[in-house]
Order: sequence, then structure tokens, then C-alpha cells
Amino acid sequence: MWIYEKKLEYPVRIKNPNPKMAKLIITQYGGPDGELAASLRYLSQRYIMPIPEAKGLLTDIGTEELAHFEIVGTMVYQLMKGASPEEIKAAGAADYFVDHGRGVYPQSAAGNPFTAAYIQSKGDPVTDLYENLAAEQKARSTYEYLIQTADDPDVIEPLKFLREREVVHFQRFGEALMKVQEYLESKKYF
Amino acid sequence: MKNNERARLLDEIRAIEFMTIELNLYLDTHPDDQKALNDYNSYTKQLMALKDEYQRRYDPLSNFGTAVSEYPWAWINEPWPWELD
Amino acid sequence: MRDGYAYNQPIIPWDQNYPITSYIPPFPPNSKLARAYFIYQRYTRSFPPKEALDKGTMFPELYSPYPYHDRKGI
Repeated sequence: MWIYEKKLEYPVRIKNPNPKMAKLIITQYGGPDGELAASLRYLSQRYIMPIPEAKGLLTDIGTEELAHFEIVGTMVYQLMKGASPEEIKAAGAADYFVDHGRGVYPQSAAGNPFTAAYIQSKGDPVTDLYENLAAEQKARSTYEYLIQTADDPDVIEPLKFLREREVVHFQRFGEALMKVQEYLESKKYF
Repeated sequence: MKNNERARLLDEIRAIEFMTIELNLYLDTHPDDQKALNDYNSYTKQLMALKDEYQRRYDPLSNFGTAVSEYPWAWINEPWPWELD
Repeated sequence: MRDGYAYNQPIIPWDQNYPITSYIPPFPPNSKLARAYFIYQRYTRSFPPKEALDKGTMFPELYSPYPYHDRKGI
């Protein structure tokens, strides 16, 4: 089960609203390569993992991704907070505003609502770990594109943190893959 | 935060907890790394002491039975993590 | 010849077509095809806590900076 801790893993203190940026960053909240997708993917895959290292790692990275989900949601909230409807309209975010106001809703930058079609849990530990390696790379690329489009240091710093976490997760999933493959080969698994 | 000392203590908790998160993930794939385990335990003890101090002086950091609360129910107190003060 | 493929040519072993060792990564012997290999990280040094949080990792060997906005000419 999960216990919530009332602090962000990395602080978010955005002083200037920017609805245009909010509409882009939201893709890491509810988009195809975002933190919610990552969390549900790993937390769903952990059940069929054959070794304790993999069960632990998928649970723990899945949990950390929820902490990142919270960071991204906070960024969207702070970027919309205090923006007038005129500013929102000028920023091209009026379509989001009419459906969600200044609230936070899980969707991609293109406006597609979150769906489990963004994730896979194939029930095969090797397949699932390769899926996760790809997912971490896609997330890293997305953060890089977001960093490129941002110009506010208060926005760039949390994005850089989140990007570096993907690099670390990629290494961990690689190590888990080695252990799972060794284990399955030693059992002559079919 | 209105209270600078509170913000400073929370930032310290954040940094030490991050070390435990990093070592936790490393230990998941390296369960027999003695050095990593020693460092994890050392940071964990430090973290528990810092959290005790924070929760004694300010508000609970976690609920569902992880810390006691003053009256009235302090868990719901602001600021919540997405709020700037 | 169909499709331009030279059916009558002898089959040349793949490693005789390429220069030796420069392109062959140092994999351990008995490495298998059709699977990925990862190097296990070995923890030795670490950044101190505040620096680690700031960088996004405690491990110098995993730190991959992205100084897009520090490029010259920007």
C-alpha cells in the first residue's frame, strides 16, 4: 500500500505564470511518455517478475514516478495560477481553459486524454523490462525537448532533475534485465 | 515559506531523503553491496531524526498512522507541497 | 539473377568483411546474440546530499548534464 509524504521530491517555485508552457509540460503529466504512464506501467508489471530484485525495483521506481507525477502537476498548477483569461487565450491555451479552467487534467500536449494504451504490461519479464528501457529513453527525450522550449530557470531546474532521474532509472532497469535474463537462462525457461 | 527555519529544515530533509531514494534503487539491483547498505542505514537514521524534529516543531509530514497530530487535526494544515507562500 | 542478389557468390563469414577489432566491442566470450547487455554500476564515490539533489543523482558516473541554455551564442 502507499503512504503519502507531504513534500515534493524536488522543490517547484515558479514565480511567473505561463499558460503556453503549462500546455506543453502537461504532456509529462498525462501524455504517452509521462510520469503517470511510467508509474502505472511499472506498478502493473511488478506482479509477474520472477526475482525479488525486480519486484523491489519496479515497486520503488513506480513509486518514485508518482512523486514525479506530483512535481509535474505542481508545475502545471503554478504555471496556470494567476494567469488571466486574456493571457490564457493569447497563449493559445483557451481550449484547455474552457474544459479544465486553471485545473490540472491528465492529457498529452496535443490534448489527448490519458489512456492505458500508452503503457504495456506484457506478462513476460524480459519483454516488460525492454519496454521500460524504451520508456525511460522516451521520457528523457521529452524532457530535453521541454527544456529546449523553456526559458524560465524556475521551470528549467525541475525539468533537468526529472531528466536526470530517467537516466538513472534506465541504468537500474538494465541491471534488472541482466539479473532476470541470467535467472531465466539458468532455469532453462520456456 | 513564511518561516525560513521551517523551509531550511524541510530542504535538508529533502536532500537526505534523496540520498536514501538513490541508495534504495541501487540496493534493489545490488543487494549485497555492503558499503551502499551502510550508507543507506546511516542516512536513514539521520533522516528519521530530522523528520522527528520537523514533526515536533511544525506539522506532520505523513499520515495513516506514521506520526501523531496536535489538536485540531494538523495533517490538513497548509502549505501543501504545490503551494508557494 | 533475381532481385539483383548474387546467388552464385560464396558465403563469406561476417567477420571477414569488416576490419578487425575496431568495430567489435569488448564483449565477454560466450556472449549471446539477440539480447542486450548492461554493465553493472559499482558504487564508490558520491556527491554530497544537496549537490546530489540539485544534479538529480548522487553518482558521478551516472551524471549526464544537459546544458542546453548554456551554449555559446545564446
